[in-house]
Amino acid sequence: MNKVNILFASIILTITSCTYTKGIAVVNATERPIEITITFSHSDISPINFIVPGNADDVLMYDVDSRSSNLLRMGLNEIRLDNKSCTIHMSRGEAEKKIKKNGLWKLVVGNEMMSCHH
Amino acid sequence: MHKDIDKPVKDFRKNWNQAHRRHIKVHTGAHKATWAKATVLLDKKIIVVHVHLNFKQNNISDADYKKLKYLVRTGIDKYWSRRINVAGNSFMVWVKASHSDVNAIPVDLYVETDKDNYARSMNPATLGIDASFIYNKGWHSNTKNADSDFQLVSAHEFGHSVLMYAGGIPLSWGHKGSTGVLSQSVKSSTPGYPKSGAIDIMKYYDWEKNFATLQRRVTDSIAMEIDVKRLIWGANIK
Repeated sequence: MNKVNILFASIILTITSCTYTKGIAVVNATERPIEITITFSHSDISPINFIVPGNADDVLMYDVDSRSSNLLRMGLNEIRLDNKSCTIHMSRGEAEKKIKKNGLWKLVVGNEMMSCHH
Repeated sequence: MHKDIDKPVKDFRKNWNQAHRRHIKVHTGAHKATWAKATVLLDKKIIVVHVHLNFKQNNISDADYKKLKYLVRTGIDKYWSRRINVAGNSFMVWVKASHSDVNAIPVDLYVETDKDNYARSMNPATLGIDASFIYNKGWHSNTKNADSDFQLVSAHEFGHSVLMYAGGIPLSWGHKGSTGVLSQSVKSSTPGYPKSGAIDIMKYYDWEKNFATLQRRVTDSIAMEIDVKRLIWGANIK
């Protein structure tokens, strides 16, 4: 490979390395499917809505620049969890306590979290 | 089919008044990609496309090398095999990826174990640079997701070679117009993920406009018909 090609490739790699892939894993540790809705205070970010089957998980993967490296910093407003018999509204403050970072951010939804009787 | 991908075959017989010579000018580059070979079974309406990748082990273990090769091969087979329509006829296209030391797309295989780093795979498909397919073992919280993500990413990165061959840098690096060629960032005009149905495996989408989870992308991503036709356009035809 000649020097021009190496330089060109280096430029591309430098530019593309300015974005990062981040993620939140949502683990449904209950038997029932849970519909998850995430809303943001920034109006230009549409709500995220998806269903995680019982005893399954899913991952929100997204690319961001270095200035806004995770969803929690990007105006996350509320997380709503709904399993048809119980709907839980988790504010940003509550989400920050319950979403743990271990590489990925991870939210584990168990029976206790989905109980509307406490 | 050439016309479908905006590379029509030009028939010079009319211009040259040489109809007796059966001389047809085909667009430069058609059916000359060394890493793809297509077999058309007209009677069965099946097209089999064998694509060759030269998997390089680098410093990963034998077990990881074997596993990653398997995931790349099955990922390409899964996301690039589909039905296409040619002149009103439906053909099933089976794409079969395999390792080859020669006439193959060079691919460096890596395993990233850092749980805080999602390493980005890439395939410039030019400049004599090998593609890098990176398995994010540390970042994902379980093996199933890491495997699925790697299959999806590998099929996408393989597609860069297809787009590069058929349409050059703007088509390949620009993700079919969905990103800047050099910035790789989505354009303001790029839509969010489709609400339902097929997700174009070669496009980027603006997740802030509409999101798709990993499971949705694993389930609904597929190579678009035009891109499979681009693959066949580049492949040697048996």
